[in-house]
Amino acid sequence: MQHRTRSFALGLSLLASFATAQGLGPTQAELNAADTSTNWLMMNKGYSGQRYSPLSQINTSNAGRVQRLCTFNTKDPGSFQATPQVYQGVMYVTKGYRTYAVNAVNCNVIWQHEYKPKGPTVLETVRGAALYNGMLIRGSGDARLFALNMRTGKVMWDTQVADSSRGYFTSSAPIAWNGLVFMGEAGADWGTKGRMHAFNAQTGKLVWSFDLIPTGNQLGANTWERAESTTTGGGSLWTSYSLNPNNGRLYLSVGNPAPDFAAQYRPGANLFTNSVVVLDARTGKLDHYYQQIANDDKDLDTSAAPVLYRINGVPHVTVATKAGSMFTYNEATLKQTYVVPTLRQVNLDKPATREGTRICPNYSAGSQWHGPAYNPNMAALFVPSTDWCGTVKLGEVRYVQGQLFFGGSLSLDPDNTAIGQVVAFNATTGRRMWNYQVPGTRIVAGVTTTAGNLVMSGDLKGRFFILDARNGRQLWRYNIDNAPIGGGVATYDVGGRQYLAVAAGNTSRATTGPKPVPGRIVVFGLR
Amino acid sequence: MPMRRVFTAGVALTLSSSALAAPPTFTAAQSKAGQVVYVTNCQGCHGNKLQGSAGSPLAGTQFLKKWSGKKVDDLYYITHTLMPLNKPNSLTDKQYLNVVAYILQANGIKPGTKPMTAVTLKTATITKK
Repeated sequence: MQHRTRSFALGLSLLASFATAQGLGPTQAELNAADTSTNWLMMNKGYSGQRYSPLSQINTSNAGRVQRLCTFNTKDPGSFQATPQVYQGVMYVTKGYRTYAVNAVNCNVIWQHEYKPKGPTVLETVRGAALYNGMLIRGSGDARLFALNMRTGKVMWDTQVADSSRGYFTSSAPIAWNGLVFMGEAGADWGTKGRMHAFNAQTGKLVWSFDLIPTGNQLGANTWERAESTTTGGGSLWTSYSLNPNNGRLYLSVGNPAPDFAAQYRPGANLFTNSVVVLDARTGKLDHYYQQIANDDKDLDTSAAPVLYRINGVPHVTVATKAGSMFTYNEATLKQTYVVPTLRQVNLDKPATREGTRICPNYSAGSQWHGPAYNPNMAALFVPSTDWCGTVKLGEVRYVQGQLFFGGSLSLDPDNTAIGQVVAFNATTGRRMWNYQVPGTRIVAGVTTTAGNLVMSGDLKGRFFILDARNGRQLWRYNIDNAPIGGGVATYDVGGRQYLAVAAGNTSRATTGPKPVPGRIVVFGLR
Repeated sequence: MPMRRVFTAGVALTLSSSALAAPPTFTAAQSKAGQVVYVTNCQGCHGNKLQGSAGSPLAGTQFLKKWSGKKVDDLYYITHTLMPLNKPNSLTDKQYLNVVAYILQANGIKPGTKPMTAVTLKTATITKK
């Protein structure tokens, strides 16, 4: 009886919380316009994933006068790969199990929420949230999806997506559309079997699921010639998604198969791993797909979200991969338009061996969790990538539940041999326009481009840089306290003034030194 | 009521499997040497208190939830073949044994007089004495 009373009270509390969130945005209309908005509403700004802002107050003529205005310090190290998301002057930031609402002008904290995990944590990495009708909806290191009231930070609903004791987690920045919120499962490197889901955005109830590793009579099941290997087949959704709100097509970048290196354990093309998969967002039914690497044996995922845009009115989709390739497809004909390398590629066609195969890029290089930015004024793509080599070796295939399931190993070359890059391409032809390089470190941060002809990003030495989008010339560079930049750069307008916000202080697997720098958001602008 | 029956059965299973399993063996010297290996090679990702950061937690409730009842050999296999993630298999066998001993002690398993060896870890299960 007492339990029922508490449940009733909790229900009333949730209802009250939901009621106070109603009437708040971002509304569906605002989300539909997010790509051209002066807010920054999603991880990759809008549904198309272009990371383009129409703001031009800061431009090529004055970017050299940008100054640091304020800092919000999270005071702890750890994964920090989100782009600050800004709506009506409030910045929403996800880091590990914590969520912050911060004043986007002066960095003062408005509220902070810390989630208590209910299951084992696989990885705390969370790359952002869906902002929708007064709700902030995000994933967790223990494979859950929960909604917070954007005004108060109170929990509105909390749903289990998958079993984290088996290696699942929810690192993607979800997106919301027409009453649904989309969130997929990550964890292929732990031997999971990935699925994509849609949930009711108001209640968190499951609406549909799509199996990324097909079995039985499902399309693509015959690409797993050894059917037993599908139980640990991989296929993760690591980052975020894109969507065409006009036709309801949902675009997913599906990651590597598992075990990562032991391709002989899972003969066949291994659909839908390393593919762009396009679903009907309303039903979860497969519309079409493009596979970038069949039967991958080097963990060279298709990971970063695809970017959607039009060339002469024709819809196209581009995706950049960890293999250092950029693929563009014509969405009218469903044919590949071009594939171009973004960096040096060595031995990618050679199999992994027990003795070791030297490869470039390695699995921590290429384009990781951020893909190209697209500038519609220039019809140009700007791709973050890292040129860095390593040696992949086959080894024992041993599955230990909830643990890394590689079937081999990969040794990375020394950190200082990495070359971070932002490469610009003509989106119509795939022709390379320019290449900005930072020798000795990586670029994994998001790239942002603007109507002020700017391209902005940062490197793992903490250097935030602004380039001239037309020629790649560096206009300004600033070191953010040596804090590795793993999140993206957001730009937004508050009160008629343009700001830039950078998430720095990412502790990254495999390349972090003994003293990681705590996370921070730094806001820049013109004085 | 049905939940209580399931829980009771679960406890019985745990006790049964613990009774059959050999506890881990390692010495304090191994654990101490393992701490040095940890600080140099593991701390950057797993934290100075093994609490986890870019890498998973290696001590506390989170670790024990994942590893209780599993073989020490599996922990050694993961550590040896995949860690450090940038240079897997780059330490000596002795260093890997020591760092596994350090992780076990950090999770409340007490050292003894018998060292951990490549042979003893094959039959040992991660469980508190």
